[in-house]
Amino acid sequence: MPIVIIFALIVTVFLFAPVLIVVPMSFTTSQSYAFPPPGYWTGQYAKYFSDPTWYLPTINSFTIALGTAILTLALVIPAAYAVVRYRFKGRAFANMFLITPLLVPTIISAIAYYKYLSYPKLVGTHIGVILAHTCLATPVAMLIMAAALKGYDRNLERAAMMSGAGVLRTFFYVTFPVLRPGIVVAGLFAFLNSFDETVVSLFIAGRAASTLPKRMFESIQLDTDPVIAVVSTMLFLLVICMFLLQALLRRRQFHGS
Amino acid sequence: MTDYLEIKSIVKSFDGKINAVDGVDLSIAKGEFITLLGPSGSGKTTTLLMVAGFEHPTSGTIELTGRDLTKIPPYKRNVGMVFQNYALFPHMTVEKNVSFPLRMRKFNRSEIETRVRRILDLVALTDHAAKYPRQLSGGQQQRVALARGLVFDPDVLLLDEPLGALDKNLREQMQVEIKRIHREIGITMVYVTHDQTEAMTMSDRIAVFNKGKIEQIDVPLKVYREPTTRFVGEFVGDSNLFDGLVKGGAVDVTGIGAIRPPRADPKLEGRAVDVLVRPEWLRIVAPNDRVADGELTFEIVVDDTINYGDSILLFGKAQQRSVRVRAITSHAGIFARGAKVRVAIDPANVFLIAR
Ligand SMILES: Nc1ncnc2c1ncn2[C@@H]1O[C@H](COP(=O)(O)OP(=O)(O)OP(=O)(O)O)[C@@H](O)[C@H]1O
Ligand SMILES: [Mg+2]
Repeated sequence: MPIVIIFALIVTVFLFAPVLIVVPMSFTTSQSYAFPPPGYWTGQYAKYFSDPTWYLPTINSFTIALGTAILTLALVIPAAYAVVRYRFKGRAFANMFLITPLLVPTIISAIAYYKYLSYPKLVGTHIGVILAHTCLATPVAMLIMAAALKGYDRNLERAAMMSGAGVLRTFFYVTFPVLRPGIVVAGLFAFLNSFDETVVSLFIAGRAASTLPKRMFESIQLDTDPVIAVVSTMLFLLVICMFLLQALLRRRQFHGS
Repeated sequence: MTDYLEIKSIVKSFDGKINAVDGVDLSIAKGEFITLLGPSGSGKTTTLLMVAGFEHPTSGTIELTGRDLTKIPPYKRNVGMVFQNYALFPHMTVEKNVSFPLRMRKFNRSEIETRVRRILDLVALTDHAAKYPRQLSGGQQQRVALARGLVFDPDVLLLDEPLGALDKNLREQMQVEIKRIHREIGITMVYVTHDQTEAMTMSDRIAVFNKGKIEQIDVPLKVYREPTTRFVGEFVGDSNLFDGLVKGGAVDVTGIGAIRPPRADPKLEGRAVDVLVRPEWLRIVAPNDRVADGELTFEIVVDDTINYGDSILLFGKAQQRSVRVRAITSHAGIFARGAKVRVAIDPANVFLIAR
C-alpha cells in the first residue's frame, strides 16, 4: 500500500514539475527565462496587466471561448436530439458528417477556414474565430450530448406532456434540468477547446481577434519575455479554481437533497 | 353502456408494412376498469400511447366524452398516465412531482395545496412529500406516479404495466391499492398487463390482445370459462385443449370419448372444434366413487405431479395426449409416475371453441 502511494506521488511530481516551474519564473527579476531566477518581484504581473498586447488577447480568448460554447450548444442540442430520437433518411450520414471535423488534421482545417472565411471578410474577426472554433468543438460536444440523451428516459417527456406541459415547457422544466450535467460538460468542453486552440487561431485570428495562445506563441518566437510565465501561472490557477468549484458543486449536489 | 372512451378501428404501423395495432375497437364506459391483456409485442402499449396522444394512429379515431382526440396534442388531452418505469422527475421532490400537472394547468396556489395534500393522503405518502424519488422504494415511487397521474382529475387514467418492476408481494399489495383507489374516486382506468392473474383479479372487463388485434373483450370469468378463440383459451389460465368433432349435439373428443355439453352452440354442428377443459374442471375418480350420468370418464397415466400444498397439479397422458388435472387433495404421494388415474369431466364443464 505505501509503495503504491509513493509511486503515485512520483508520477504526480513527474507530471507537475514542468508545469510548476512556471510559477517561480513568473516572479523573476530577469528579462529572460533564466532558471533558477536571480531574484523575485511582481513586476512581470504589473507588466501583464498594463500591456494591451497581453490583456486584450486575454479578453479576446474569453469572449471567443464563451461565444463558441454558446454557439456549439445551440447547434449540438437540437442536432443530438434529432440523431438520437428520430429515424429519418440520411440519419447515419448526418451522424457521421457531424464527426468529420475530428478526422481532418487541424492544419488542413486551418487553411480551409482561412480561405473560406476570407470571402465574407471574417478573417481577423471574433465571429470568424468563433465559427471556426465551433466547427472544431462540435464533434466531441455532439458525442457528449448524444450520450446524455441516450440515457434520458423518453417517458419523462411524456409524463411532462400528460401533465399539461407543451413542447417548450417540457424542455425547460424537465428535459433541460435532467440533461443539465451533459449540457454543462459539453459547454465546458467547447469553452476549453476554444480557449486552448492555437493552430486555427494562428491562421485566422489576425491582430484584432488575437487569442492568448496565439499571443503566447508569438511571444516565445520573437523574444524571451517572462510575462508568458505570468500567463501560464494564472491559467494554472484558473484551472485549479475551476476544478475545486466543480468538486464543491458536486458535493453540494450530494448533500443538498 | 354509455360510451365514454371510444376507440374506433385504430391502426398503427411504424414501418408502413406491419401493423403494430391492427384495427382495434374498444368502447369503454365511465368508471370502468378495463385491462388490456396480451403477450409481449401485441400492441398494448402502442394502443395506450395513441389514447394518450404520444403516437398518432395511422388510421381510425379515438373519442373521449364525445370529443375527437385524434388531432389534439397530448398536453391538451385530459388524460393521466402511469408508466412502467415510473418516469418520475428526478430533480423534483415528491410534492413537486405531484403538483407538476396542477402547476402546468395553472391551478391557483391554495387549490394546488389542497389537492396535493388530499392525493398524497390517498396514496399514503404524506410523510414522504419532501423526499426525492431516488430516496423512495419501488412501491413508493409507483404510488407517486399514481398520484401524479390522478391529481388533475383526468377523464381517464392509463396504466402501462405499472407493477411490472415490483416483486410478487408488493405487486399484490399494490393491486389491492389500485383497486381501492379506483373504487374511491371512481375514475375510468385502462390498465395494461401481460400477467393474466392480475387481469383476472382487477378488471371489470378484459380485452385480450394478440398480434395487434383484440381476440375477445369480456368480463374476467367469461374470458376464463368461455374463451372465443383458442389463443384466449391458452393465454388466459391453465388449459387442456383437445381436438373434437360435434355430431348430433355431442362432441367426440379424439382419443377420449363422447360427451354432450348442455349449452353447445348449434352452429358448431358437424364441425371440428377445440375442446377446452380447465385442469380444475377435471375430477379425480377414486375406485369406489360414483360417476354421474353424462359424465365422461377416462384413464390417464401420470407423468409428473406438482404439489402446491393447497392443491396438486397432475401431468399425465391419455392415449398419447397430454392432460393436466388440478385437484384439491393432499395425497399426492399415491400419484407416482406411471400410476393410472381415472378422471371424469362434467359436461357442464366443457367449452367448445370454433376453429
Ligand atoms: N417506436 C416504435 N418503432 C417501431 N416499432 C415499434 C415502436 N414501438 C413499438 N413497436 C413495435 O410494435 C409492436 C407492438 O409493440 P407494443 O410496445 O405496443 O407491445 P406491447 O403489447 O406493449 O408489448 P410489451 O408487453 O412487451 O410491452 C412491437 O412489435 C414493437 O416492436
Ligand atoms: Mg408494453
